[in-house]
Amino acid sequence: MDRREFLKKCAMATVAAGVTRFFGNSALAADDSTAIDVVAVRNGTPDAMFDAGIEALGGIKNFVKKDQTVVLKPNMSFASIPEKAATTNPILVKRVIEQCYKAGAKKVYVIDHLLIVNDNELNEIAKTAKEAGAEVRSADGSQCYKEVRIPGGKNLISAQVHELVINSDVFINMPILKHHGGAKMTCALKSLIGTTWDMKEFHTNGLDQCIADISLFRRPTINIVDAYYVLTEGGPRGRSNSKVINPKMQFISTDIVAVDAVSLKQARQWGIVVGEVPYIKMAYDHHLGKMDISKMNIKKITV
Amino acid sequence: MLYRIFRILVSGLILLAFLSGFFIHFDLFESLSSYIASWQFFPAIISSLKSGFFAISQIVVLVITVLFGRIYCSLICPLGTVQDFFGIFSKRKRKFYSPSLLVRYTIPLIAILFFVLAISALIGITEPYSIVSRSMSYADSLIRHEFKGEVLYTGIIALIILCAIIILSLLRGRYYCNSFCPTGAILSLFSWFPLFAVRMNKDKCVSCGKCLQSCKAECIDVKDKRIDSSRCVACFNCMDKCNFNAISYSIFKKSKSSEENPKGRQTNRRSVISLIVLGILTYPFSRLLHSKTSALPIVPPGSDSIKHFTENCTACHLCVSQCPTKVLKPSLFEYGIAGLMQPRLDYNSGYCDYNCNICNKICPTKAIKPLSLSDKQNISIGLASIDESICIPYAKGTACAACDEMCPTGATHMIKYKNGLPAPKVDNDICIGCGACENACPVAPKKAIIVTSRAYHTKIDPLKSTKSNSKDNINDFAF
Repeated sequence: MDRREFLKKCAMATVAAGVTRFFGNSALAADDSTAIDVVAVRNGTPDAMFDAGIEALGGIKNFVKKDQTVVLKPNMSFASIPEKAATTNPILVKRVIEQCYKAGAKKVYVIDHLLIVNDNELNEIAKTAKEAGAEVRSADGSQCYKEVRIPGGKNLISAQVHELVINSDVFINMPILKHHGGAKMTCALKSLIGTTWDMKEFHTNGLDQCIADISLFRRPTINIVDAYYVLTEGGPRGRSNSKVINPKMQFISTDIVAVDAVSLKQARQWGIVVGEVPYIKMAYDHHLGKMDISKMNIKKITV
Repeated sequence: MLYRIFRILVSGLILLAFLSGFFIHFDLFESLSSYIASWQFFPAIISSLKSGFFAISQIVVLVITVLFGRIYCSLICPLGTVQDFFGIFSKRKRKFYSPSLLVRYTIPLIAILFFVLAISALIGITEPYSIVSRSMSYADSLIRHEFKGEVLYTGIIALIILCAIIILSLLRGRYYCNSFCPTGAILSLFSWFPLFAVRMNKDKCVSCGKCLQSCKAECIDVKDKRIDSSRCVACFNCMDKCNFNAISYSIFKKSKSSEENPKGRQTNRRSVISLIVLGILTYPFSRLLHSKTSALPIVPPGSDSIKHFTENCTACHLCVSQCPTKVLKPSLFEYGIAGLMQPRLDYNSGYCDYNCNICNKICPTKAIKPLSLSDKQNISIGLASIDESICIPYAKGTACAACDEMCPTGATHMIKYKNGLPAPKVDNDICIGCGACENACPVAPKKAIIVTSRAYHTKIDPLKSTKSNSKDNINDFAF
C-alpha cells in the first residue's frame, strides 16, 4: 500500500464512520466508547483482561482493519521470565497478536530495540510471538531505522525511528508498568524510546524532554499497559532481591498521556514513585493528551 | 545381510539424530543430541571417573564388547558412521597389515595418560565423539555467519582434524579407529577373544581375498586364514562377499591350530615394554606443557574450578553450540596448550544469563556439573571491578548506568558521586561474575568494568527483598 492509497482509504474510513454515526446505527463505534479516556481492568489473567478491556473500547475491530499491517511494541529488553516483571507479559502479547489476526490484519510485527540482542530461546516474548504467527524484528540493526523529523520537538529535531513504526498502518504500544532507576517510572511514553536507534544519545540530551519529544512523531493507535506483575524497585531490569507485586491490572487507552497519568497515580499508591514524573507534564505541554485524572472518563472493569 | 542392513540403518539414524540438534534449534532435536551425547563411551567414562563408580552405559558397552565384539564402533560412534560414509567412495585396493602393539597403542596411551595427568588437549583431538560434535558446532556457526575471530582459528584446527580422518578413511578405512582412537583402543583390549565374533572356517576358505576388499579395518589375514577380532568393528561386510560360506558370525571355539608364531609373540613383548617406557616418559613431559597464562579464563558455573573444568573437558563444544547467549566460545591458548579449544566465557560476545542453566544440563563429561537453576544463580564465577579512570561518570562526569541496568543481583549499583551524579560501584559479596555489566559497558576498546575469573568458584548468600511489605491493597485502583 503506498501513501496515496493509504490516505484514500483513511479518508473513506473516516467518511464511512461519520455517516454511520450520523444515522446512529453504528457498527464501528459502540455507544459510549468514544467518550472513554482510559479503560482500567483488574483481577484477571492478562489475556482475559485485554479481551474485556478492548471490548469496552468497541473491540479490536475499531483499531485494526482488514489487510492492515500492525506493529506491536512490547517491552522485551531482557531475556527474563514474566514473574520478574521486567518485560511485557507474553500471554498478553500472544492474545493481542491473535486478536489482530482475527480482525483481519495482514501481518503483525513485534519490535523493540534491545540493549543486548537476546532474540533467542530464553526470550519468552520472542518465542510466544513467533508461535502466534507474528514476525519478531527485535534484533534489527541500524539499517532498519530511518532518520525522521520530530515536528515541534524541543530537544529532539530528528531521530532514527524503526521503519515499521513509520510504515505500519497500526501501531500498538504495549509497555509494562515498572520502576526505572533513571526515569523514575517506565510506561507508555518511555516505551517509545525503544522504537528509536539512537536511544543512547537521549540519555545525555535531557532524557525527560527527549521522551516527551519522541512521542510527537507518531502517537500509538492504542496503548496497552501491562500491570499484571509490577516491579516496584531496582528497575528497569530488577535485582534478584527486588520486590515484585501481583496487582493483576491492565490499562488501555488511545491517549498516551492519560494512560501514563493513570499509571503514575497507581504507581504512587504502590510506592514505586514519589512526586512527579517530569516527562508526563512535558508530553501534556506538547498537547498530546489529557493529564488531569479528575476530568477523565475512566471505565473501571473487574473481571 | 540382515545384520548389515540393520547396522547401516541404526547407525545412520543415530548419526542423523545426533547431528540434527546442531542445526535445527528445537527442544526436541537438541535434547535428542544431548541424549545421544550422554551414551558416548569416553565422555561417560570421564563423567563417572570423579564420582568413583561406572555408569550403566559404560558397563553395558564393555559387556557387549566382550560378548559380541566392537559393535559400538559400528553403531553408536558418530565418527565411525562418518568414516563409513566416506569409505563408500574409496576405490583403493585393501591390503592386510599386522601392526605391532607399539603402532596401535602409542597415541591412545599417551592421550589417556596425558588426560590422567590433567592435559586434555590430546583426548580432545583424538576422541571421536568430540571431533564430530565440535565440527558440527563450527558448521552451525558458519551457517549463522558467526565464523570469525577466534572461532575461525580453532575452527580451522577442528576442520583439519576432521579432514585428516576423512582422508585416512578414504585411504585406509578404519585406520584411525585402530591407531588413534582412545575409545577404540580401550574396546580393542576387551575384544581380543569375544564370545561371538566374525570367524573364518579354515577348511572352507580358499584364500581368494575377496573378503579383504570389503574389510574396513583391513584385519582379515587371507594367507593365514585368520581375522584379527581386536581390530574388527563388526560391520559384517565380509560375510556377504564370501562365495564359500567360509566366514560366519559364530561362537568362540578353541581350536588346536590357533597358536601364534613365536616371532609375533616376541615383537609383542618388545612393544609392551616400549609402551610402558613411553607411559613413564609422559609424566615429565606433561609438566612442561602446563603453561600458566596471566589472565585466567572464566569457566561456566557448575565447573567448580578452572582445574576441574580443564581436566574433564574434551572440547566437544556441545555447550558452545547450545549456549543461547553465545557467551561460550572456544579458546585457543587461554588455558595453555594443555587446554586447546576448551570453551571459555567471552563477555565481549555475550554474558551468562541469570535464568539459564542449559550447559549444566547437557555436558556429557560433567566438566560442567549438573546444577538446578537456583543453585546456579548463587554461584560466583568471577568478580567485576570498575576502572574509574575510564568509566564515563567518573572520567567524563556525564551520566551512564549501562552496567547497573544489566546487573541481575544488584552487585553493580549506583552511588551518588560529585554533584549528585550517579556512578557505579560493585558489591563483591553478591557479584556472581555473569559478565552482563562488562558486556553492556559502552567504553571502547577497553571496557571500564571487567570481570576477572575466580580460579575456584564460591557460593554467595541468596538475597532477600529489601523492601518491606507495604500496603496490602495492591489490587485496588488508586483513582
